[in-house]
Amino acid sequence: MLFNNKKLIFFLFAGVNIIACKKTIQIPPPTGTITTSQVFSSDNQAISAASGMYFNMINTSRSFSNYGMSIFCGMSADELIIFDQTQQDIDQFQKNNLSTTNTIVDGNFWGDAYPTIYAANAIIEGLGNYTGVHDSLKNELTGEAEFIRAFCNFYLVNLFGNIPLVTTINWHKTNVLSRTSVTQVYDNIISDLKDAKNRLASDYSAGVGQRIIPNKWAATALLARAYLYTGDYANAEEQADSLISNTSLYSLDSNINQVFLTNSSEAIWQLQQNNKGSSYNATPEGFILIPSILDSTYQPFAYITTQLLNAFEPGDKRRSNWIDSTIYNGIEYYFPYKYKIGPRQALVNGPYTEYYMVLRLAEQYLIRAEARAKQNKLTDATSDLNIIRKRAGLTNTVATSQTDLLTAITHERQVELFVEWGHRWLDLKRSNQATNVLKPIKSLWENTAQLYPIPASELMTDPNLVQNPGY
Amino acid sequence: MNFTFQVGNPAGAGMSNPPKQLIIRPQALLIMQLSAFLLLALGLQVSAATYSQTVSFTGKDVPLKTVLASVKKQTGYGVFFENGEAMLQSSAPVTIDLKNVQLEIFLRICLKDQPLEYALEGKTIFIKKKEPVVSLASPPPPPGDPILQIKGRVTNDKGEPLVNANITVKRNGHGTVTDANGNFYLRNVNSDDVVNVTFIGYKTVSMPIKDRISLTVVLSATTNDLDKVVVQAYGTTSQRLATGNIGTVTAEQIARQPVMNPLEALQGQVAGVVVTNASGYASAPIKVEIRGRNTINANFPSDPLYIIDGVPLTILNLTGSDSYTGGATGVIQSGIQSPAGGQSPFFNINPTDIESITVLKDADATAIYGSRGSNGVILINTKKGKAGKTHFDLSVYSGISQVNRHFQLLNSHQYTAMRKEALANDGLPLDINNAADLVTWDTTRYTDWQKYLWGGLGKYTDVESSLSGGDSRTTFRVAAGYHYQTEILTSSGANQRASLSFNINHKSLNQRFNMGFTGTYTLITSDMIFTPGAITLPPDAPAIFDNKGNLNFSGWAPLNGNYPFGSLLQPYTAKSNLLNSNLVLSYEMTKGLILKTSLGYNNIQSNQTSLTPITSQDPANNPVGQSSFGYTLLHNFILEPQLEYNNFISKGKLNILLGSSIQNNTTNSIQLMGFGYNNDALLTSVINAPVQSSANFSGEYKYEAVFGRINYNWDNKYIINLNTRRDGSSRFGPGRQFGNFGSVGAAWIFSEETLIKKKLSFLSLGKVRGSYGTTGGDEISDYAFLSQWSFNRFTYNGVLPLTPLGHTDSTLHWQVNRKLEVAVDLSFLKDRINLEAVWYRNRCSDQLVAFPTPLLTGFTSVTSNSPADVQNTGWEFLLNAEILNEKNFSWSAKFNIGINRNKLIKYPNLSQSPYGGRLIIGQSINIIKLLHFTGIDPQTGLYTFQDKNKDGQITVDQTGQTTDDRYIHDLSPKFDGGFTNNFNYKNWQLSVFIYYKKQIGRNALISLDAPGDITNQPTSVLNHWKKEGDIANNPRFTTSPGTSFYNYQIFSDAIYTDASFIRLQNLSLSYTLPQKIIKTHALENCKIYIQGENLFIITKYNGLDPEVQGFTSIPRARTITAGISCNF
Repeated sequence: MLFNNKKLIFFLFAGVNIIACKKTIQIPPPTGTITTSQVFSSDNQAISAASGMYFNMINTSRSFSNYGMSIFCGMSADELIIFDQTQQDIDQFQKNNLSTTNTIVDGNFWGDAYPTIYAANAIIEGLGNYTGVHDSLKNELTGEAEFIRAFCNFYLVNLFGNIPLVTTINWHKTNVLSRTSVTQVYDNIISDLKDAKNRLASDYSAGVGQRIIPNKWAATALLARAYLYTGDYANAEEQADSLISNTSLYSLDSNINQVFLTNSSEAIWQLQQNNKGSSYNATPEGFILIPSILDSTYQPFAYITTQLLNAFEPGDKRRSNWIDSTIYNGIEYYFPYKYKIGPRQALVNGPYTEYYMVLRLAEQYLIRAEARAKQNKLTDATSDLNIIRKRAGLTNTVATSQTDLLTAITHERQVELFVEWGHRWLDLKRSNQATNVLKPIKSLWENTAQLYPIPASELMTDPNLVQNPGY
Repeated sequence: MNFTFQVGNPAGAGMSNPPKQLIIRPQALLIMQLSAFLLLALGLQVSAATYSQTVSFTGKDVPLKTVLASVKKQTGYGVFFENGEAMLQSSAPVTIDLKNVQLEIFLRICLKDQPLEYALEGKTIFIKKKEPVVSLASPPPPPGDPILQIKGRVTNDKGEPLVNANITVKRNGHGTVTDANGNFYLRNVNSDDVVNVTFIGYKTVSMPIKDRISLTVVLSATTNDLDKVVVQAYGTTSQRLATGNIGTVTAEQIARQPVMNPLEALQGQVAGVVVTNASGYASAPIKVEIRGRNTINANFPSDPLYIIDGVPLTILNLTGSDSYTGGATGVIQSGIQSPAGGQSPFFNINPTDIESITVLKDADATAIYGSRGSNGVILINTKKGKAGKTHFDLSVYSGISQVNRHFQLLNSHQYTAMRKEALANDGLPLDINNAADLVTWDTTRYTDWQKYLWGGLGKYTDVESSLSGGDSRTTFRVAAGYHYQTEILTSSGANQRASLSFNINHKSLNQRFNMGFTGTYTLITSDMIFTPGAITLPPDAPAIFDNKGNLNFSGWAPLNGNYPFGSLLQPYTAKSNLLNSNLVLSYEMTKGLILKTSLGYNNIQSNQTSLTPITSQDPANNPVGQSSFGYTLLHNFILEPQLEYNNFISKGKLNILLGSSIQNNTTNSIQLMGFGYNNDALLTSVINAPVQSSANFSGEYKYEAVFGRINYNWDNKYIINLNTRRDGSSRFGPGRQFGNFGSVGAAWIFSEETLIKKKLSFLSLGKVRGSYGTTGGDEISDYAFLSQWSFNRFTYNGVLPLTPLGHTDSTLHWQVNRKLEVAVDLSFLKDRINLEAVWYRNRCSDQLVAFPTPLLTGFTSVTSNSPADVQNTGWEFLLNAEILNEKNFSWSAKFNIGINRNKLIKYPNLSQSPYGGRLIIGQSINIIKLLHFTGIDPQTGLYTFQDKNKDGQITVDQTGQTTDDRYIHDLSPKFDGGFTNNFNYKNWQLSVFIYYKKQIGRNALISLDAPGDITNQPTSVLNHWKKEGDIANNPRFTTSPGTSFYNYQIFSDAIYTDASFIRLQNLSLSYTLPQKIIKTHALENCKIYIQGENLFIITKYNGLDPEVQGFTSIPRARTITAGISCNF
């Protein structure tokens, strides 16, 4: 009996000893997720991580990159009007009186661009910290991430002015960042794009022929734009020129109804929508802007302003093909019709005939035109402008002086790039025309409305952020 | 295992003059053991029939064999003969005439003149040869002389031996404890000594030794609250002897409340415990907070550690949806959103099966749970069988519930007028863009949306039955229950629970080996829909259904985007089952040393179905059907070997507990989704979906600990209690997994001091106790220290994309709570009045929080240890009084109050932290900064506020870095508690429970838009500004409210009002049927009752319910039930 007791005590304390051992509280890695070291230890997972950047830009609620720039910036400018004006957060865009707690500014612009930058930084750091990915792929994916980081920073700096420049995922370093000057942000954008240009492939092999993974030319196109915006016209011209010269990949489709189709010859970079839960095979913009039924039963989400409608010259194919209308309650409303698949046309497992266009050739012609005009290369500039006008079924421009030509180019950008990635809003701002153009049509316009407010929640969390003037 | 049995002492009637007992030689014992085993091997006939405990027999010169056979028949006891039946040959015939005599007396009389004697063990009568009397004290010593020793046995009134009972000699305080058989052995006593026999939960017995050398002590259960058994960590104690803070809710208190979730029964019953329903759905998570908010964290719930019958109910949070305000989402972890916001795991526990709920609050009580005790511990013990008569209990109740408060809102006429005025003020035309509600809708239509959505009647039905009983060695309880409850708001759908629980306890013949097995199994079905939060819809809004019975999207055009009733046709069903089982094995190795192992397992399975039919969506959007199916499977295994030692050292009783705990918890979840159904009939199967996707989540948690407790009780006067624990948790990264925790608690029962006893005899208990200790916390999600990516559902460029999941902090480590408590317990007038006053201070550091990071870092938070130190100090008072205790009428009352003050005591570099604008050192962490609303400007009709910084404008600095116009308010509740009165008059019992709370809270205005918009308003807005010079309570009507309204509703004190209340939480009236009626129907007890929940509320709150603030959730309903409960 006594022996038994001793035995029992022995087993009990043996048990206790086992417990004190660290191994017994080790748990296997999670099954539904994979760890960062696993992601960057194989080519396939690393490709998946890069795909994640694009997927989240187009297929989630990150509306900055799937319709927000086009629609909300279109309202901030003079392009679109929301139909249901009781939707306060949207209505604030068209009234240019954004509140600091506007959920779209907070959640969709700021709150979509920065998480995308996080993903890009995570890929750059992951590829640098782990050694499982082949060098050529590592180079390619680093380039893609740098491109995406530059892309997001470009829009952030244009919407908010000075912005915190985030180049690492280490939150200890980024959670008290203050704002970096616009110039420095552009320096970073340009150096990221230059580096990306060197790393990226010059074809569309990454997307197996589909133009859905940014390549060297996407970096070139964005670089051209960045130079144009910073007034470096020579470089802007050079970059745009190198892209336009690559006629084997890029050409303007004479049929303007084919511009926004999948793998259009004009596409430099498109995003592949794949949202089977809601918008199916429609692009996010088509799904929102095209009214469900073209009869008097259903209203459009937003409609085109008279200013934009009046900007089209008679006979402009873009006016007749890229704009449609619906009559609701006896009133005709016009809506953008660059994408043709709306909620009615979308099919759950339908074929992808349209992809969401991010960068396209026409803009490069207009960049080159503007850069040339600024450098007083008026003949070349005019010829670029006329290429775009011709495709739209218009005659050559009548502008001859530098000033007139620049005005003509701005106007051409308005009608070519309308409701596309906020071009009009950014053009008005960078050409200092915002107040001139918008004050007469917007009763609440203040000059400070050119910059969106830093979201209030960010100011509360990061003590070093300062609000833009006017908010 | 070697079982032995020993000869016990006949207990019972002969107490006043007990015969001198035998002391049996070891050899004889051994022989008896062997023969008993042989007899056992030959087979034991146990009859299942019920027998009486008394015996009658009349006969002259009857053979003893016949008499014993009759005894066997009457009592059901087995009769064994030490040397076989042959030993009866030496017996003489018996002449006897006894009626309804206790068995022991009967046997004693029977065997009086025989060469035989008997022993009772359980349900067995052993007949053996009478041994010659060997007296150690012969001749009896003169009084006052020391006799060598005394032996005895302690049992309860059901004959069950009491193990570890205290036997102390009054003269010198020396004593001993009983062994597994209840036997004790005491040396060096005098014949004129008096011994005290005490056992937790029983009345203390004092017994003079006189010239006895053997004592049989029978203890009866106490009726005094102070001495009743109270469950504590790894054991039991009583309120009198406890050094820690233990609050208890009894089965009786639970039974008075017709709640489906037992946690709801805690509300207001235990001081310092705040229980809040996360939503109005029956199955919703329930937030429990003990003694204030410990952390500044908003993402982790405040839930204490829950332990059901020794098994922790650990639910992993796989999908990160837990929150401080909403609580833990519980058993639903598949990522599918539930209308109730999750499902409380306690929804699967039948309140009727619960014997007691114990709340452990201070360090002394919780430290032995180490790392997991930081938020307190709630122990739930289920009912166990009791020895004695077999009971069959049956109870049935049924009832209704209804929302009984409504808010006065504008009717269509008033609403239309408001809208028109607003549009006119804004200079806007009455057109379709600005006023679709006036232009396209029929403005003469009127719907009272409150009535429509909350006007329903909830129905309750509940049936419970149980069978319990047993003898001194084996007890059992089997219970089955069914509960059915419909929600108030849903047109269809119900919550149903079927439960089965079983419990068996068995002791070996020698009482040294003990086995207890408990299991409960529950099935839940919960049908719900998302309630449209549509109370403030315009009263002229079109009908929900069109004339074909379809959802009226088109009728609502052009505001069909605002149509909120799609969810009415989107069914959600959650089914879950829970198995909770626990096996406890214990073995007394030698006297005082018990080896115990607790082995627990629980398993929860739940599955959810959520359907979005085509018919529930706007046909304009070309909708297709969608379905989601979620499965969650949870396993929790715990093994806790323990070694307990009890002994008397000097004048004190020593109790040492050593143990270890190994817990392993896994949760797996699968989500399946089907998209693109073009036929609603196919929705229920994912295989019919043109597009399918799936996701799985898993979590694993391992937890290990060694712990020890030393309790030393000196003469029931001075008690010291030490706890220590070393814990390891898998939730932390390598090198940070282990933590050490401990506590010290002490109590001084000064009323036991002779001086106090003499001078203050009215004081029946006076106790001062205190404790200090540390507990920890690891209540974060698993793998939080690990940087992870997750796969998306659909492909990009043909590959499944990966998305980073969030920031990580590799230095994550234990949260530490340091708790200090001092308390005084006083009882007066023979414990009729008990008063407890408690002061405590909890300090929490290294708090595990979701540390806010600006979104520019990529994510809004990171699980990390906060640098903040938060303190909660408070007072708790409890008063229990038996005010009247007459034969026909009694009245008792219980009152408790908890007062907590919260304070941020340390935050290094606060101004450079995300909390810089929100928190202030030295103030509560529940503060909010608000403008002071000063009414409507008679000139402009806008809201005005006090210009605190006198800069001529109203500024709200959201960063909090500069001075602005805001004042600081503390939203922490000031105090809360409960007040219960129980009255008994003859066969009537009345119980009234009042729950009260003092707090400020957000009023209903928070869920309103500015007056003038397309939503309804309270009728109070009719008093509003119309023209310059108007003095009004409400502003100028407008459709674009702007900053003034924004300041008013987000930043001003106007939306915070006194949300204090006194609620008649529960009223229960019952009538026990008189004995003579009961007898004729073979009943033992029968009670009919009527109960009401939330009968009325006294509050100044501007809204429907001060506990459910705003208009978005259903207010608490009034419930009335009636039932009958019978024991057979």
